[in-house]
Amino acid sequence: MNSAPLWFVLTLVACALAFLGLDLAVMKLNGLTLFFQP
Amino acid sequence: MKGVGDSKRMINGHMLYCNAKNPFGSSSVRSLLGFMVLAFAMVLGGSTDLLAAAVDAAPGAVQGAADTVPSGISAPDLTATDYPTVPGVNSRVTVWLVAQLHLWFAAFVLAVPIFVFIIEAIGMKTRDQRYDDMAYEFIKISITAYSLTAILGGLLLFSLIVFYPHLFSYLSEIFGESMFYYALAFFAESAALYLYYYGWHWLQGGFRKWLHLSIGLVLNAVGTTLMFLANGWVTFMMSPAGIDPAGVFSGDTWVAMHNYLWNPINLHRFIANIAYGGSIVGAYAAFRFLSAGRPEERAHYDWMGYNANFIAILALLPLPFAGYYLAAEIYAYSQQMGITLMGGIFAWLFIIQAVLIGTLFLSANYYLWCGMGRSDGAARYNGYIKYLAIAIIGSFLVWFTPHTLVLTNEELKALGGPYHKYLGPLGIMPAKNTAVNIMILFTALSFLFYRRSNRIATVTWVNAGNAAQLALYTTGIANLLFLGIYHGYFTNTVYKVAASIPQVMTTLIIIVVSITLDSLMYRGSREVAPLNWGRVPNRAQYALFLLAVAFTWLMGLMGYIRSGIRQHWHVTDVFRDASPDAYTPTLGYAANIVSIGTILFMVLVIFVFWLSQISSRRTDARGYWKGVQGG
Repeated sequence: MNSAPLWFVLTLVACALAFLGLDLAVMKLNGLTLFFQP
Repeated sequence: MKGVGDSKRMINGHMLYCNAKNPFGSSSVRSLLGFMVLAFAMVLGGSTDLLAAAVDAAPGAVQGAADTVPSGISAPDLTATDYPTVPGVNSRVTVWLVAQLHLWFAAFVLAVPIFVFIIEAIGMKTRDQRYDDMAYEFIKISITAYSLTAILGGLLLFSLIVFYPHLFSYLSEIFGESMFYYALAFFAESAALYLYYYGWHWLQGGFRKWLHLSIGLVLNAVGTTLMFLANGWVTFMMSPAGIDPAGVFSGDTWVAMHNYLWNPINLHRFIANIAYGGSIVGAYAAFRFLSAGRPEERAHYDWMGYNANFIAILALLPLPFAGYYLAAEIYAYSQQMGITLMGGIFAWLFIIQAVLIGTLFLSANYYLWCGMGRSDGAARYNGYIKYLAIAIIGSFLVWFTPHTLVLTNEELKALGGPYHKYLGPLGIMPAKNTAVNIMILFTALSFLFYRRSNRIATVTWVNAGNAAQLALYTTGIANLLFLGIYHGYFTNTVYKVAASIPQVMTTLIIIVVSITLDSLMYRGSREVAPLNWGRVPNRAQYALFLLAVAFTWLMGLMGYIRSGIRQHWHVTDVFRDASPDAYTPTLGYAANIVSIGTILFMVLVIFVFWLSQISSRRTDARGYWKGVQGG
C-alpha cells in the first residue's frame, strides 16, 4: 500500500472531487450554478 | 445650493444660522466654551446671576453638555480664498508627505508589538532565550520610531489646522468625541509600551513573565483600537455615513465611524502592517548583518533576518485577498469610485502596484532560496528552484500586464484598437486573480522546500506522502485555472466575481493541507547537519533591503490612490474641495512625490537603525576620568 503512483491517482481523484464540490457549494451560496446559465 | 457665507444648520432640532466659514465659530466649540464658563462659575461658587449670565452667553450649552451627540452638521461651501497659505509651501504636498510619513511609522510601531508578543510567547513555550532576546531587540527599534511617529502625528495635526482649517473643523465636529478618546488612549499606549520595554529584564521568570506578556497584550489592544479610530475618520472621507439627502450629517459618532469601508480598511491595514513591520525589522537585521564583525554576530542577525522575512511572508500571503475584498467593497459602495480606481486615471498606478507586489514576492522567495545555503542537505532541492522561479515570474508577468494600452494614433490603427490581440485578455481581473493565487502557492512551496532542506523524513510512507502532495498541488492548480479561465472568459461578470471566492479557498486549502501533511511526514525526522547560521551571501541581505523599500514605496503609492479617488471632494459627494490643488496630478508627479516620501522615510529609518546600533557600543575612556588609569 506504499505505492507512490497508486497514492498519486487516489489523491488526484479525491482532490478533484473535493475541489469541484467546493466550487459548486460556493457558487450555489451565491445563487449561481457551477456552469454558466444565461 | 448653500450660500457661501452663512449657512443653515440643524442644532438639537432647531434651525440656526451660523457662519460656517469660521472654524472656531462652530456651535460645538461655542457650547464647549460656554460650558467651561459655566463650570468655572460653579467652581468659584459664584452667584446665580453669574450662572444665568453664562447660560445666556451660550444658549446651546446645557443641551450640548447633556447630549454630546452632534446632529445636523452640514459641510460648508468654500472658495479658494478659504484655504490659508504659507509662502513657499505647497499645502497639498506638505499634508501628503507628512500624513504618509506618519502612517509609515505608525504602521511600523503598531505592527512590531504584534509579532513581538507572539515571539515572546513562543520563547515562553519553547524556553529558548534566543526568541526573548530577538523580541527585545525588535521592540527596542520601535521605541525610537514611536517618538518619531508622535512627532509626525503632531506635525500632521498642525498641517491640517493651518492649511485645511474648515475641513478639520468639520471632521472634529463629527468625530470630536472619538478624537478626544484617541488622544487619551495615547497615555495608555505609551504607558504599556514603556512598561513593556523598560520592564523586559525586570519581569522575567514564572508569574512575572506572564505579567509581562499581559502588558504586551494590553499594548496591542490599545494600539489596534487607536488604528481603528483613525481608520474611521479616513474612511468617512471616502464613504461617509449618516448623511441625509440634503448632505447634512445627522448621525452620531458610531454611525460616522462604522461607515461602509471601515472594516475592509481595518482588515487590510491590520494584515499589511504586520507584513510591513516584518520587512522593516528584516532590513534592520540585514543592516546589522552587513556591519557585523564577529561570526556569532553574523549568525545572530542572519537568524533574525530569517524570522523577519518569515513574518513578512506569512502576512503577505493573505494580503492580496484582503486588498481584493477592499477593492470589491469600494466598487459596491460606488461604481463611479471603483471605475476611477481601476479603470480610470488610477488604473496605471495599479500596474506599478503590480510590479511592486511582484518585487515583494520575488525578493522574499529569493531570500528563501539563498537561505537554503545554510543547510548541507539543500542540494537535493536546488534543482527544483528554477521551476519555482519560472512559475513565479510567469505569474508576475501576467499579474502586471495592462489591459488598455497607452498608444499613439498610428499605433492604435496598426493594432486595430487599444487592446492587444493576445495580451489584452491577460489584462482583466480573472487573469490577475489566477496569477496571484499561483504566485502565492509557489511561495508557500518555496517555504516548504526550505523547511525540508535540512531534514530527512523517517516515516515509512514518505513516497506515498510526496505523491499525495503532488496530486494535491496538481488538482489545486487545475481548479484555479478552471475557475479563472472558464468563469473569467466564458460567463458574465456575476459569475466572474463569484468565482474568485473558490479560487482563494482553493489556495488556502492547498497551503493548509500541504503544511499539515508535511508536518506529519517530517515528525521524528533526522537533521542533515546543524544549520550554519550566517552562511548566506550578502545578496540575500540586499533582498531584505529591497523587500523593505518595495513595501514602503507600495504603501506610499496605494496611500495616494486611496486618498486620490475622492478626486475633488474632501468628503466624497458631501464636502467639496475648493482649494487650488483640487485636481488629480499627473501620474509622474504623484509617483515623484511618493518616491520623495519613500527616500525621506528610509533616511529616518537608517537613522533609527544607527541609533539602535550605537546604543550598545562602549568607548574606552579610561585616563579621561579622574582616578581611573588608562590600560
